[in-house]
Amino acid sequence: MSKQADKIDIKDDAWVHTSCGGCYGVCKVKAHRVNGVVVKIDGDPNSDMGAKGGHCPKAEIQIQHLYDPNRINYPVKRGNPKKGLFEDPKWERISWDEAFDTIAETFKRIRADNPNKLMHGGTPSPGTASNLALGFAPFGSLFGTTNWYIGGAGLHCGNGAHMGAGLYHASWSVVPDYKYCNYAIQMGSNKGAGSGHSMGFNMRLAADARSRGMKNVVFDPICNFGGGKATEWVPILPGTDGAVALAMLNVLLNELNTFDAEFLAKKTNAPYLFGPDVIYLRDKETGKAMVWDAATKQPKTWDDESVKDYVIEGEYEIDGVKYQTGFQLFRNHVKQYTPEWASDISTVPAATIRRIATEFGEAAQIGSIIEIQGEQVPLRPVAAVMFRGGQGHTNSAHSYCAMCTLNMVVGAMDVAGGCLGWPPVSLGHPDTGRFVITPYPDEKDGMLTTGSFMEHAPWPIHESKIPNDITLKALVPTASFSPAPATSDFQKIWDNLGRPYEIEAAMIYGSNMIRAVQNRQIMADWWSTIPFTVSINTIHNEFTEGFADIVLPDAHALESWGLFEHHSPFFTWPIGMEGWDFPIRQPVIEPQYERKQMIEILWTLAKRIGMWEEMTEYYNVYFSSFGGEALIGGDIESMKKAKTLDQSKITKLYKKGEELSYREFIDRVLKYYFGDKYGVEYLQEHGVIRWPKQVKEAYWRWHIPARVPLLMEHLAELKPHVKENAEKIGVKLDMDHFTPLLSWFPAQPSTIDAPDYPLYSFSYRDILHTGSGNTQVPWIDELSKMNPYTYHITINEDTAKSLGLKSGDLVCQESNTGKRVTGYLKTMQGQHPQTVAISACSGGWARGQPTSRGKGANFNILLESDFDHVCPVCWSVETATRVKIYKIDSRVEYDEGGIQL
Amino acid sequence: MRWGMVIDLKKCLGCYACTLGCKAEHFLPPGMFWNRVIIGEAGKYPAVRKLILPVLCNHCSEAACVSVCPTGASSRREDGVVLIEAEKCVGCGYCIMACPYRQRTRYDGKTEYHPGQGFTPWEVLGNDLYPLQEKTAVKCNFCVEKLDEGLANGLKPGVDREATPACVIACPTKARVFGDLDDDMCEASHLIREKKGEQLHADFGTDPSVYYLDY
Repeated sequence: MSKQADKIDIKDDAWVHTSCGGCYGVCKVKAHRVNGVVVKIDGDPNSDMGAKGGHCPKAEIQIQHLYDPNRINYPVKRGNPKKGLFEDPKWERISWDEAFDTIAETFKRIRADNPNKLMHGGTPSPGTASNLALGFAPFGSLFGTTNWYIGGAGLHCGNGAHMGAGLYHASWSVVPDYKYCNYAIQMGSNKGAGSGHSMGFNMRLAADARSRGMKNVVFDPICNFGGGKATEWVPILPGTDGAVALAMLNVLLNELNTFDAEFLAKKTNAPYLFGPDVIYLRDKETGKAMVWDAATKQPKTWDDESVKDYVIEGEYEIDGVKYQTGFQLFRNHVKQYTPEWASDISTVPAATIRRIATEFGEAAQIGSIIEIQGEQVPLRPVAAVMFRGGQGHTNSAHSYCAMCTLNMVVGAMDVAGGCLGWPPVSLGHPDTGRFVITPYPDEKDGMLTTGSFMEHAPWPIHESKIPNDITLKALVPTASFSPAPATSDFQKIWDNLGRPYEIEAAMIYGSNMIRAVQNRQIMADWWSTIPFTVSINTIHNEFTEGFADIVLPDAHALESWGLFEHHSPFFTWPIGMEGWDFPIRQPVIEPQYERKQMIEILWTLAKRIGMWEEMTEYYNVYFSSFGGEALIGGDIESMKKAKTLDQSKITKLYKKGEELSYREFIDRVLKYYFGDKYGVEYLQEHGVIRWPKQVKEAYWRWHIPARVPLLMEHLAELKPHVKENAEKIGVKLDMDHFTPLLSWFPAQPSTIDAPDYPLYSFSYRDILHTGSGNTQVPWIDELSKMNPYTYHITINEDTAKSLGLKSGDLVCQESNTGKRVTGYLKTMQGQHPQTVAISACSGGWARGQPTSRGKGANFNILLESDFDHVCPVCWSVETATRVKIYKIDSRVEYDEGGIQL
Repeated sequence: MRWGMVIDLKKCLGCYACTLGCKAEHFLPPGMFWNRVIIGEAGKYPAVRKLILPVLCNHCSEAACVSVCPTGASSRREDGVVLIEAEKCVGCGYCIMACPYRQRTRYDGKTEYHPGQGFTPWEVLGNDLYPLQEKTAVKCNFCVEKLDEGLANGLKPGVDREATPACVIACPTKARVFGDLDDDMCEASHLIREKKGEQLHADFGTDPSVYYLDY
């Protein structure tokens, strides 16, 4: 940028350490500020948190997010009382005082009446800081409402993945240990290819792995991001990944006799005894699950120290009842899933499935050891991973868990080269021993229990209850996020529940609750019922314009302080022996106009509605928890317990009566965690607080005495209660899914009789558009046009020919329920012939986002949202749909809004 | 000395970080790219391979653009960097036509990234910091300002970030390596030698200074 730098008066020239706001990966970056203007973003070569010097395109576009002339600069209220998808809100500028007064008055009234009448939620929007644990999650929880709704709700997120990664890895998601992995299988996931969690360090590590020769087999309907960088792309029909995973398990266990017996015996419930109903044999006194002790030939509890040898095979008669070990049951159960059977379902040739399973088993090197930093660590250089695509179906839980079980049977879980969760074990900073998270075994069954988790801890499993919240999640405790109440069957279910209350206000942080979620009409129907909706956002979108009554201008990530961004190792921190890096987020420029940081907005509101003291008490508990005393986890459920804890264990970081700025509070937290030397000033200068990861943190599996479920016994225990409660409230769930034995269930689109809709439509993540809403960014728009696929509807070239279609045609995808989405066609060889695809959540129409208008297509319009379209166990929304495709003259989905493109 | 670049296609994801790193570095206007990524595919279903090819000015030693330039505006420095002197360029466009790699464009004045909404602060400052001259040919210059300033300060291009082109710095997978191709010991030369780096369309006969691995 120095071409003319010597000719103009440069008063300010600084590289400022901060964290990227481009997605929830929050990579460490440096921002170049000249004369008060951010001119460039670079990665940080001194931090493992990201691409270590490089960055993805979403980092650079932060500049255009920041300076978008369409940003929200002042609080506004709706001038047009009518709400709807295409309504002009007729924004009227108001003062912060008026905004706070109006919101506080409404919220105070609601809180005094019934706090559940407030719905809150959201996801990070373009450029906004997440601040989940300090901001919007505790605000609602402390307010007293249980109604917490996440934008995306199992649509973009991985309900099966978060449930499964939590159960097996105490983590939010999984990834191959690229440093040592030699054979990585991906199913419906672009991990390592620019999407998924922590894409910054993933793409760096995956590239190194490819370069050194790691084999990467990608099952995916499209050969684009994951498939495009694979050593072998295997086209597969959407929603059938689970069938292939089950068949591979069968090949490994029954054809090849390949499994890690020691891992299964000591780290899973494979040796636990199951009765004919596939429920644990439990000790009558303690209620604990039991195993067979070969030495004494009798059952003993799983934690009985006299058991020296955990038997994983066999059938034992106890008191006249036959019991089998979990492993024996599982192994026999998967015999039905032959590669030939899976081939019929998935279209993947049986020989391919058999070969890949064989290669995977051989590459696992079961029994091998590697020395890392002088320590002996089991080496299993194979990993099978899945994310959104593979598990975004009504068979999500079983598909995802079957994939995880591939790693389990060869012992490739959180050991060198295997499948790793984002780090769930932090033993603390060497100077202080603080910033600690440790998973542990639950007392009853010895199952892996997370030390901290976001949203909904996967274990211990709660009881099924008649729900009193609008997400209905209490009904099925294994569910991650819920699509309710934005479902077409919600109102009827709420009727069945006697309509305990009505939502009177909503507060939504970031997010686009219309375009980026399932089916805009269903969303619109829901949001139209809420009398008062507040949105905190950086830029208007289809949601704010259609449905918000007041919109508050959020500061951009480059205008903000942040602490939580790097606060959850299991969510963002680099895997394996990559270092611990606690980075800073600080304002590169001060918030412009009247924008305020979300945290400050929430703090002001908390003060005005009389819950400030509760908020600071919560913070004290939250930070004390990471200080080494596991008082609460990070999830919503445990937040509710904050008031009832032992006060002597809580460090009063925020003292009563104090008024700290967010910066001052961050400084205090940092010093508490890491010592007086490491306050904000240290971070401003150095960018990160670094310390090396210990081998037992990186590869913790054999250091944590906990087990994971080969058989999901808890599903059988839950089943009668879920069934009874579901029937009571009129929710239809396929209860067959509540079986401990991982099984095949066809995904919804393949079960319908719709021969006129022969194709499966799906969406996929494009690196330019994943992780935040970017279609308004001019640079992203240019690149999306440069890319041959990003803005197009894609289809296999031969399929297109057979339908009389060609690249460039304006086409309409019509679902079997009559939903229509249009766009321009691009044919591909690298796409399954029975599919049609759209990337991202494009096709915008908001007045406040002129760049995004009409660009690409909005896949989500095609989706349904009801209990027929969710996985009964984890509530993942079905994200494939049956369609037909034909030429059309206009973009019909814009007709209703009278929008001319 | 011959500055050049190696791009490892096995590592490259086609994420366009290089494209935007370059655009931000040079405050390039809408529609102008000095670094592009060409994406396509090869083969027939199901034996298909995605093609990802990042392209930029090849800084050829036998540069066609230089030989056709009627005013001497286009020239190749002794260190191999091919540059355009805006003051000498008359915008005739011969070089644009002559470049077999289509890496030159004509700059006809700045337009707004948000049409009708004015220049953003970034664009306003960019107009001052990195002005382009209207009606001239422009292209990748290997971030020559960073290169020269870095060398003047004793830094080593390709090793020290401050002296290395923005696209190399931006790459999240370290697919790009910059260095002196006349220096057998530098990483770029080593990679070309060991991994059999190839020039894009060597048959054009211009002897590019950009090499590809796994091409």
